Amino acid sequence: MSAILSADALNDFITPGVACIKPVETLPTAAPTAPAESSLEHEVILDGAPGSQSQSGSAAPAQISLTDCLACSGCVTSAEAVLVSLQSHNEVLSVLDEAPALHVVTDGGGQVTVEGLQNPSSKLFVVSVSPQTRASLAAACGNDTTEQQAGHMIEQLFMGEHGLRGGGKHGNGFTWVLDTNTAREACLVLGSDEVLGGGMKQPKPKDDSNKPATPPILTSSCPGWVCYAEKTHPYVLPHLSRVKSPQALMGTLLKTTLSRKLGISPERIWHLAIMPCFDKKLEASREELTDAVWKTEDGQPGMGVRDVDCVITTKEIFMLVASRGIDFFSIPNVASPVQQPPFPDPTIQRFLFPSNAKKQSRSAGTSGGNLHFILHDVQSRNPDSRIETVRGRNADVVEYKVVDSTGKTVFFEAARYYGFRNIQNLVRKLKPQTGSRLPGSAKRPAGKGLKFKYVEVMACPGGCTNGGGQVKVDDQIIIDRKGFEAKPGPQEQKAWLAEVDEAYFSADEPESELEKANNGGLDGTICGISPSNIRDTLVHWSSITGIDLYRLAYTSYREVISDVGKEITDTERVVQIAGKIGGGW
Amino acid sequence: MGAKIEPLPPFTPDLYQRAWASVPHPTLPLLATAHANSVTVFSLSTLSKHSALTGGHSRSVRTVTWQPGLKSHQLRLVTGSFDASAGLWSWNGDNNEVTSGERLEVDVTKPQEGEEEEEAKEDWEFNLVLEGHENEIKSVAFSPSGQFLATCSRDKTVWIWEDVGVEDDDDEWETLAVLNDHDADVKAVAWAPDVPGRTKGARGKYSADVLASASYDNTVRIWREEGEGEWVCVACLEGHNGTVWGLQFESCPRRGDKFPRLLTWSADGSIRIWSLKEEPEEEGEEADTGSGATAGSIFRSGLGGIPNTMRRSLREDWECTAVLPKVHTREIYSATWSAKTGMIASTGSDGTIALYAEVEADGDTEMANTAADAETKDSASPAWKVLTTVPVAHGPYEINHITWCKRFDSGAERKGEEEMLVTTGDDGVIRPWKVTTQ
Repeated sequence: MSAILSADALNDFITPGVACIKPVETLPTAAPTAPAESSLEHEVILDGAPGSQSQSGSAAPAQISLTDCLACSGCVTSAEAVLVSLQSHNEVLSVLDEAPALHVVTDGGGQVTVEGLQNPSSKLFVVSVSPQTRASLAAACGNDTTEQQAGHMIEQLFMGEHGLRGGGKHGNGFTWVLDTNTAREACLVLGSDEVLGGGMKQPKPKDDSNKPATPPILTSSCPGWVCYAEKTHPYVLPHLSRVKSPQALMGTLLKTTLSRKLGISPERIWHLAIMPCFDKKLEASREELTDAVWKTEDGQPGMGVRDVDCVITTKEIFMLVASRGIDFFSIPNVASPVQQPPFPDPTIQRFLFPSNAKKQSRSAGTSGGNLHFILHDVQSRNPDSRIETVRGRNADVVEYKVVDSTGKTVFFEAARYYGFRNIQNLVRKLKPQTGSRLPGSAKRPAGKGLKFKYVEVMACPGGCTNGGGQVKVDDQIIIDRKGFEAKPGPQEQKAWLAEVDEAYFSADEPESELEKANNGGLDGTICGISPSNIRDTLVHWSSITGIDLYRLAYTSYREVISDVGKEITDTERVVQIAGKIGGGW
Repeated sequence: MGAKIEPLPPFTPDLYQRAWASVPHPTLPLLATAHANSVTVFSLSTLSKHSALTGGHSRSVRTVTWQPGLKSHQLRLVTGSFDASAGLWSWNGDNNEVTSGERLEVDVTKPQEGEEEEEAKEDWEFNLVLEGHENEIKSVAFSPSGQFLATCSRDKTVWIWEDVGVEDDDDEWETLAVLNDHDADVKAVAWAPDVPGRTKGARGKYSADVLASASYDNTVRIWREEGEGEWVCVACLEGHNGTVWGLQFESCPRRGDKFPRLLTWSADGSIRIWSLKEEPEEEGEEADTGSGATAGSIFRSGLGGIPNTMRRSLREDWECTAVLPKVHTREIYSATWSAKTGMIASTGSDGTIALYAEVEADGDTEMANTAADAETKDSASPAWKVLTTVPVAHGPYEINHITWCKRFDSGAERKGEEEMLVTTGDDGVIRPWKVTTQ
């Protein structure tokens, strides 16, 4: 699983192996007689690489775009890593340099128009930033920098006069800098409704292709987990929550509303997301998260314009600023004087730019707090109930029960499973019991099944603040800033992660106030979120875009069928072994 | 001092398939041999086949191990296969014939009249499949108490498993840890045996079990459990110039209760012995570790000591204290360190068996043994010398495995105590060797 994927760790050379799962029908029918170099047989057309042309004259080579490559084990893992690394700070800079950006202008009457459309390459730039990224950067700054201050620094960088606008070919910057926390609130409400029912009528797809998730419902916002499940344990796919992740939801929201309200094609909007891990790059390239899913007006299906065009990780911010000669730590940590133009729809504007930034309490964890919200939603529906917590066999497994005041009636049971080793145990329990298929009469032990209705699954131990793309304590930047004499060891790593978590939760209100907010305010809020407001916003979103809520907010998964390990002829096996590094011995 | 290695009649029958490893049961007169897709269990009393484990795996079974610490009527084996799964097997017959150590009355290769039905019932049952590794499993090993099972694979990871259904007499295994630190194919795993010195280095911070792994990335890593199911890499042993094919901890208790030494063997043709550098306990704390550990020496190698910028500051230091004299001309696939005599035997691609003994530093040719007469000199590392070699022990075939094994056959003078060597080769013949030293 590529949970801790890092662009630094590339050391195998790239060949899509013989066992690549991309359908063989795209290969030329006449196979070359001599074992040609793989680059001829399986040409990899790299997304975003400008002007990469296939070999002219020969038969059409097999093309593997990032959209197809979903981390199957047929390809050498580093090929995937290279494709992922194309969504990089370099791509950001080169896109910024392509053409002068589109501008959004609001006239006195509140009408919003777009300027600069005559240049077909001009784009409208939007960036959404995850809270884990802000926390990581705040910890990197040190000196008690808060997450909010780090957020301001990012705003200044992307929007401000002295940030990206200060350089590059066209002095382009970003029009809007958004917080994925806002989208997250919608995901929490939708996720809870999916598990508990009620709220709004559960949207359904037009056909029966994507059935609703069956209990135990598993969080699907972690792309490392989703890709692993699709590749290795497809039997859990019926359990994955159909609700989009905050990144995906934000992408769809931006592309649909901006394109509709500004009258521009979604291709003209370039959406960058800054995330704590590399797997989010894989998520951004999913076929299910493009306009092909939601754009159907005038009979034409969408072109496959992505909802999120590019994802870079927290670490890559430093590479980005270094390329432009900006010192991140010198950026002022106050709100940018450059105002963000109002969003072309006031309801969405209020949704994306809430007047008070709400914080989560620590019990929510650092991965969005899906489980936390659901538990409190259950609590709010059952007066006088309370939540009991039982620690599992290690720090990354926790079980929760919502019980009545006597503790005898159990309303709801759920758990949190973080980290690959714990995910192993989870999927094992979900595996359907098959009869013995081997002559040695293997009998599987009777599956006890899972008592949980919901499990929050995350690939990274410790949650998203410990994501693969976050700033690490052994990055040179931190070593320099902290003045470590020797390479930081595990103790320093733990301390660092605590600092990042501290920044993540740093709030003006005391923790006790936040805890109180969890249990529901009189205004019907849960964890500081108003489900009714959220639902109203979602309905509004659907109406202004003319797209049903199902296609806007929900997604589907597909099993990655691989030839690896299946019955193959001897010849194929020999070729396969010859191609493997290490020879398979 | 010299030694003689003489062949004993090979185990019957010939397997006619490449055989990979033969593992003796810790106490009973049984030997399990992995070959092709199955395992054959031989009786050490008769030097002939006792039973077989068939089916269960779709690809080569390269590794097999006995589960220790079971009740007396139980026999369990774990197999590790190239099909990426590990199998748990139980013997459902009674063990009377086996435990008594007497010669089996019945030659199981020729079922007797009227006894066929009874024998057909006694068999190995395939209880459970452990899945999770991405590709070929190279080695499996149980911790000394049998609580933990370690598996390692070409997917560069080492997994630690535990049977959590033990009380219910059920098989329910959970993954405790997936250890990612190796950069390449992990070839072997081994646990430190339960000797008094084993808790050295734990410093109250770790539990007693210590795991080591050997890899295609030329390193060996040491792992310990730091509180609540968190297994961490505490050392990375660098020095070999090729794949480290295997490793074994010293099984006899050391003088001064030192931590068992580690034997490693490699494709680079060398066999090395590594020792844990033990820091004396210090009063007070070296640095504010935040862990409350009284021995600040944990961080000596990291922050306080000379920083080694070439590698991460891990938590304990191992050094290579001996390199055995070179005998093999090609890759060394296997070596074995006797728990009784302290002798080491090795073998590999060149088909040679070599036997080594430890020499005290003062030059006397004494064997290092558990009952210490000589004084230890901490500063001088003992040297090793070659006692004898047997070339082309399996003819032109590579030898994949060698192990010390107690003798229970009729030719043994002291059954259950005397040790022989057993080699396992590409010719599918399992050969026992009598070892005599003068």
